[in-house]
Amino acid sequence: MHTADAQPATILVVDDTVENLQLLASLLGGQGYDVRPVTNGRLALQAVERDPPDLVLLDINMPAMDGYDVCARLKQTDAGRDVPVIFLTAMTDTAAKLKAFKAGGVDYITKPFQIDEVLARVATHIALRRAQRNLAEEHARLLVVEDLREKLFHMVVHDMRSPLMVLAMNLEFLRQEIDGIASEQAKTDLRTSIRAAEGLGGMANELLDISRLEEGQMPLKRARVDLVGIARDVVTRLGGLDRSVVVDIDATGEVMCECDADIVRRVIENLLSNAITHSPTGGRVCVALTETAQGHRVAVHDEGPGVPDEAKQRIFEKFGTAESRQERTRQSVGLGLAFCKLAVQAHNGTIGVDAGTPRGSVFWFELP
Amino acid sequence: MTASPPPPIVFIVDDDANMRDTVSRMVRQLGIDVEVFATADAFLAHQRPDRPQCLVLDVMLQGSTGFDVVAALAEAKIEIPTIFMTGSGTIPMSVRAMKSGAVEFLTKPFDSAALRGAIDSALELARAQRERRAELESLEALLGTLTPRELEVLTLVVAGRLNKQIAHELGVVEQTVKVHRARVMEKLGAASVTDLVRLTERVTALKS
Repeated sequence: MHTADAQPATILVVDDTVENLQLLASLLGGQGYDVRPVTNGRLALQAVERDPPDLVLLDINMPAMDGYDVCARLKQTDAGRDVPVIFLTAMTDTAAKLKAFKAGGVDYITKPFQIDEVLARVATHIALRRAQRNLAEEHARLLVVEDLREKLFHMVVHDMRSPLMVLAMNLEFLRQEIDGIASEQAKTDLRTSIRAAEGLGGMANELLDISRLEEGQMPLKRARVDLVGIARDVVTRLGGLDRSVVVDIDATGEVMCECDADIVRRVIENLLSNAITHSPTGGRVCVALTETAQGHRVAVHDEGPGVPDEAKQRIFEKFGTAESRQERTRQSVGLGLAFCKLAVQAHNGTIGVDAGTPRGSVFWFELP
Repeated sequence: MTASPPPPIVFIVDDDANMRDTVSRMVRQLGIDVEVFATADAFLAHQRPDRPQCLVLDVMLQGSTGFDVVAALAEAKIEIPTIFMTGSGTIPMSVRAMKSGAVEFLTKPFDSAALRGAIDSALELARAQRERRAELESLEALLGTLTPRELEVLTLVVAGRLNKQIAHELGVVEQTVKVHRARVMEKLGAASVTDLVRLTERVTALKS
């Protein structure tokens, strides 16, 4: 046998000359192939339709329907599209050979046959075909697995939401109950637990929002809002997180934009908290808002280590920052920027990162 | 319209015991009475009190969905403003919820403020529906005091017919019509034909 497959490879041999058919049948049959001889193109097409072989050996010079024609028709059928065809020809000129390839053949064998050459070419193309089919099957199987994985991911995130809410709310109830009676240590412990629960909730929201955005399932509540006002709120909330970093806003007047205020706020929150996290002690972070020809631009400048060129694309992909975060402990699984990108795209905007001058980086987005 | 309504009550249907405990506690913290149910059937079988009420319903229930419950309520002609809770606020789901007549759609996790907002608008709607029903009931009771013949006269008067025409249509003398008409005005407390028209139009509007 020539392949590892349990079933012998099947070869359809098409030739109007019975002697040729007999020769090839005994030759290939002797090598363990399952040979199916037919004497014309019509029968060949029927045979492939009924049960596609692993390979077709096709004579070119036949009455009624020549080999080129048979091959071209075969390639238009679902059953025959992927079956390799080797032409059998007495013609040796280049034009005829080219025509054979053009008709969809993978190879040709010239008559009179050199036995070893026939066997070598047949074996090669059958092995190739089988490898191709295995790859296609493997690919299809992987797609199914990937689909399952995606569904499982959704289910897990979905099912996490009730317990997360129960956890967060009951910690809050507990906080109200023990207020005034518990020790300072107990209160601190509880506050830490509440923050962790909020962090978990935030992650679950991020994951779910990303899948909703990916599927175009995120309902956008568009309204005319002032981006400067939103940015100021975010700066007020996050500016005090790290007292060693100075955060300010660079804007004149209002920047009115038609968008989902809540989602845009979260994009700015993400960019700003990243900027603060990556700032050196005494660093300065600036949120600049401007009207541009493209629309409304929000840019967050930091003085951090900057983003290497090769990472500038990947950084906005899902889990794109996961591999690059080592020592910094952050409540993120590398989804923040993926969320930002999808959220901005949902608004038909663009997002990117440039090198800062003289140092750091500028994460920016523009909304129409 | 009526005396101040009895205190409201919120019903919660969720198959997750932890969620039932948590959401019911959140509602109680808002100072509102609450009753919980683990299944849609238990809620549907429950004898509901005569109080302004709303339903907080999990979309994903064991063996059925919140949409099924809403459909069953509509089928039984039970009018109760409904708030959905869900783990995934996708567009098709929120559209479906709103089409089914939901007042609000809460995506878990939600906080007390979001729950309060939803319950406030649901109960406001419940009170409005309640007032409508009460008004309709009292007007129908009033119309119920009319005899079949008086009702016929009322219908024709409201349709703009003159006494003479009504007498002809009913095959009675005009004087009889006048007597019926006076009694209709008196029973319904109407001072004019305009009052009669207003009253019947109101009944039609309340029924729609």
